[in-house]
Amino acid sequence: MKESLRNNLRIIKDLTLTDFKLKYNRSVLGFFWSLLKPLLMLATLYIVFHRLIKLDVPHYELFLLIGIILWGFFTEATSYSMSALNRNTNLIRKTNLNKKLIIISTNISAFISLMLNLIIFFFFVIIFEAGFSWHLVLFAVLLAELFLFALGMSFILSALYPRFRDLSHIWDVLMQVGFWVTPIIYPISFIPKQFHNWYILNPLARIIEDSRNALIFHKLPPVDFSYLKHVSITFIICVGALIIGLIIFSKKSKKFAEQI
Amino acid sequence: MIEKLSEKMAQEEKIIEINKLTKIFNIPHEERRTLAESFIGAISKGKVKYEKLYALRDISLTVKKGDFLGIIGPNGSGKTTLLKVIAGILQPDKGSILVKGKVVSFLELGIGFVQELTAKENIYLYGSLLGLARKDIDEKLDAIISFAGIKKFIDTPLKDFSTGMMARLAFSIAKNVEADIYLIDEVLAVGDEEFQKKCIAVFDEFKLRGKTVLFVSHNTGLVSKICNRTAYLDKGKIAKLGETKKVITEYNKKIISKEQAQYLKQVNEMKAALKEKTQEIGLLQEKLITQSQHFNERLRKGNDLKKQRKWGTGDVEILKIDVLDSNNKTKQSFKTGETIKIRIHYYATKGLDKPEVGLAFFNKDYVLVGGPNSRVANASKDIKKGVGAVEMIILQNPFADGKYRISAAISKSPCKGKEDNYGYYGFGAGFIVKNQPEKKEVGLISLKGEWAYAEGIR
Repeated sequence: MKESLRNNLRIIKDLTLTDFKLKYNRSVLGFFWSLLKPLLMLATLYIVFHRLIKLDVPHYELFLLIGIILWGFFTEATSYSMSALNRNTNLIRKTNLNKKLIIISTNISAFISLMLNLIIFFFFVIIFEAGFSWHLVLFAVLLAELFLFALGMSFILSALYPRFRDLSHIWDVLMQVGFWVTPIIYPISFIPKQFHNWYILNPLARIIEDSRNALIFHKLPPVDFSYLKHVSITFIICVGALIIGLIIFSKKSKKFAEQI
Repeated sequence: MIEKLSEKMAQEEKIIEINKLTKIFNIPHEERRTLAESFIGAISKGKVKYEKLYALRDISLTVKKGDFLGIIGPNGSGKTTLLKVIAGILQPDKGSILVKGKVVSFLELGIGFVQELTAKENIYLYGSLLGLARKDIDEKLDAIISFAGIKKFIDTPLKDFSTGMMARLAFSIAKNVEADIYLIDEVLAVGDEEFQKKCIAVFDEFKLRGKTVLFVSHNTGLVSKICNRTAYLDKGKIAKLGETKKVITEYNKKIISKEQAQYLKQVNEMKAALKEKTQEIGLLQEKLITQSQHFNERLRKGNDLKKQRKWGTGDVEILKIDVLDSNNKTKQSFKTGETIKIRIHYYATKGLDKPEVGLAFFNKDYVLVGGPNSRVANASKDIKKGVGAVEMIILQNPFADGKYRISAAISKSPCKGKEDNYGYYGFGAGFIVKNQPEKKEVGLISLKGEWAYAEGIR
């Protein structure tokens, strides 16, 4: 058991490394371009929403950047996982590798990108003098939640993708919509209170909002009943997505070798 | 003693147990690979219908530890599918499969390689997938590279490798992995002779170490060299299973009988075609023979007829009789009153003293209508030896409408009978007399005369 776990961890490590190498096409420049993408987006959105529309949010640049980075991770992890099976046809058709490892390593690879992006974020934090606090621990928990949710969605999507090839297009559209439905460029307080119960069903919403509180504003939200409810809903959705994802993927992955 | 027994038991240990295994591939009649297609398809056409393809059917097979099992069979017989099910890549639809121990599979050349990575990176990745730790690979790297014979290309991306190179690399990684069961599919098909020798050495080593190998190949020679047992698959079923020698004999027999059957069929087809052609030729020959017989017959008859129509002492032969008009042109049809020249060509074997030349004109009823004669006409002349012609000119054709035939004779003068004929030619020529309807007269000849009328005479 221990042996097989170690084996799997080693395979995940090697697959992640491979994924990372392929993604950045073994070039240092390729990696820097990938860092440039969120920064470029940041600059554009910052100019539009801070200078033109004059959205009044303190530390708007940091506020925006953490939203973009977290959202970017989720999109990358899910979209990349969906095509991961197709990118690894040899592994699927010719080895009895546990297919979950492919999805897990794709997600880890996206997570590594997230970490590198966070380094830039903290660099910004230093430049704009937002400061650090113990709330960083909360952020770690939020990251874990986000990772579980991304992994769960990746399992669901990649399990269905071999059967429904247009899922990637549908998901692209959903991600476009999601970008505006999630509080990335605006704070959650912009949403009228009566919609909050619906709005919070999107785990990214609370994760991003709370990440800002922890990293930029160094405060806890008012811990009341409705907040606790929202926290538990997000947690249930994240874990639920992972469990459902694992079930669907285990069921569907038996036929991958024939379908792909 | 007890130790030996337990060793023997261990050798007899079943390592793979397959029971009534069936693998079906569902081939959909209509491809629905997107949500949109599935949605529209489900509404408009209902469920997708599938064609069931039995890749494996009721396979039962037991492999003992240390066995070298060969798997042979024609293309599409399910060999690779069987290996994939044993490897756990494909799930069986029916039946059970039990595999004890670690399996390393080497399937369909190339394996789980990532084309964009270099050979070295692939060795680490693939080794890792097969369960080798990084430090294990570090240790074995040189051995792997030299076995595959790709030392120069170690930092080349795999996409630039040939299939042979990839297969060699994959095999040399796989052989370095410590496993209980090795599934090997046509590794030697791509290697050169040297590599094959190396592979066989690896198999010998496996044998010594008590490894179990399942070996798929089309090369029966190799299978009989390596494997102690062999399964012969045909159309997804086990056609024969047992001792390699027997199975291969059976397999070869089947193949040979198949080839023989095909060969015989061809021979029979050719024979049938030949027979048909021969018959045709026979018919043609027969036809030709009858035709030529017929022709000969006619020729003979014709000659006979000619002979009959030409007779005499032989001193003269009448060669032919020409019927000419006043301009000496051959003519067939005359009117009453026209000039007709009858020219008799002859050949005389000797000079003759004033022979009598006679002609006879017959009508269609063989009535002798006229018989002019040179003696009577006082026109006979000596005939010299050789060819010559005598002409009789009828100044005014006296014949009435009808067909006339001419016979000619040259004979001793005066001719008293047949024996006097030097040469005779019966019906040697002929002509027609045809007048305009208003000038037509009845009878055989046209009598020319003057018509006078007198009144009062009684």
